[in-house]
Amino acid sequence: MLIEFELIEKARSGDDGAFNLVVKAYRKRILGTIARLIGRPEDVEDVGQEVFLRLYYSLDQLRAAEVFEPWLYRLTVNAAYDYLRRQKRRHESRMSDLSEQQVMMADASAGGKKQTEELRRTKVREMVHSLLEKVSEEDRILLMMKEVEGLSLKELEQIYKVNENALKVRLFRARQRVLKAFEAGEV
Amino acid sequence: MDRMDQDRVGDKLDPLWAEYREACPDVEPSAHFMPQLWQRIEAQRGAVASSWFRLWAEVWVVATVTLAIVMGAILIPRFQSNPPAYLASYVDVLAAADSANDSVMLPSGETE
Repeated sequence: MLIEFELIEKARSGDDGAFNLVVKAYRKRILGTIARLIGRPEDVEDVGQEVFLRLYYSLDQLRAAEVFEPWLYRLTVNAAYDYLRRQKRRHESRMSDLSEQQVMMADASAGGKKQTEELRRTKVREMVHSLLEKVSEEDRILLMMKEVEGLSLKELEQIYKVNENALKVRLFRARQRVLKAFEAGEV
Repeated sequence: MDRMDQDRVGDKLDPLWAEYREACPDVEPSAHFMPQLWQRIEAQRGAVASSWFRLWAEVWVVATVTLAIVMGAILIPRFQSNPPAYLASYVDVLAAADSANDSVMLPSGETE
């Protein structure tokens, strides 16, 4: 936990100052998670604000301060998922836009070593995004939360409200699909 | 599900996830993040308040109309079934009273 339970309790009872501190403590982490989930840097803050807006209006439904983090991650996953569905409806190609932007970022970075490093990072990002295209949107988010965000199965259980075995099976299948694509060099 | 299979999948992909995590660091929020967030919270609060006000206004209008209909349904038949208190006109009442006085003041057979 990045903050004291007491602060969450205060925010839950309507203390806007306490809520402000909660947001300040978690915003960087949540924005990072959103950036990795949606892959569009220009929309990260908008989705992040949506997460904290939903948090503000749902804090009174939080059972206990102890489950705050899974609750916040649940809101994050839902907001990212909603965003991705909206994007899908707009028929926008996320990957092509992302690649273009990342290439631009890489081009813009000055200096040989720095540029090489940025290009390597861009390649890694593109490769992982391409591999993750082999699984459904839901499984992609699940894999990200487990493998990249480092959440435990217990935490995922609280976020997804699904039992651990079902999550294990789903994760295993998704990992296998990604590994198959990785080994086949489909990226 | 075979444990060996899980490990095999994990072993091969773990370095890739780690590299990806390193390639996508956490995002530093801009200076506008907090002010914009509070603007959105306030806007939503305003929308919630106005929708509550609208709902209350609608409830009151419906309640008032219902009450008017109920009162009408109860009171109109009651007024219609009761005869009016005064059937005669003012002139008729005066004439009747006058003729009654005449019969008292003038004994029978006498004329003015």
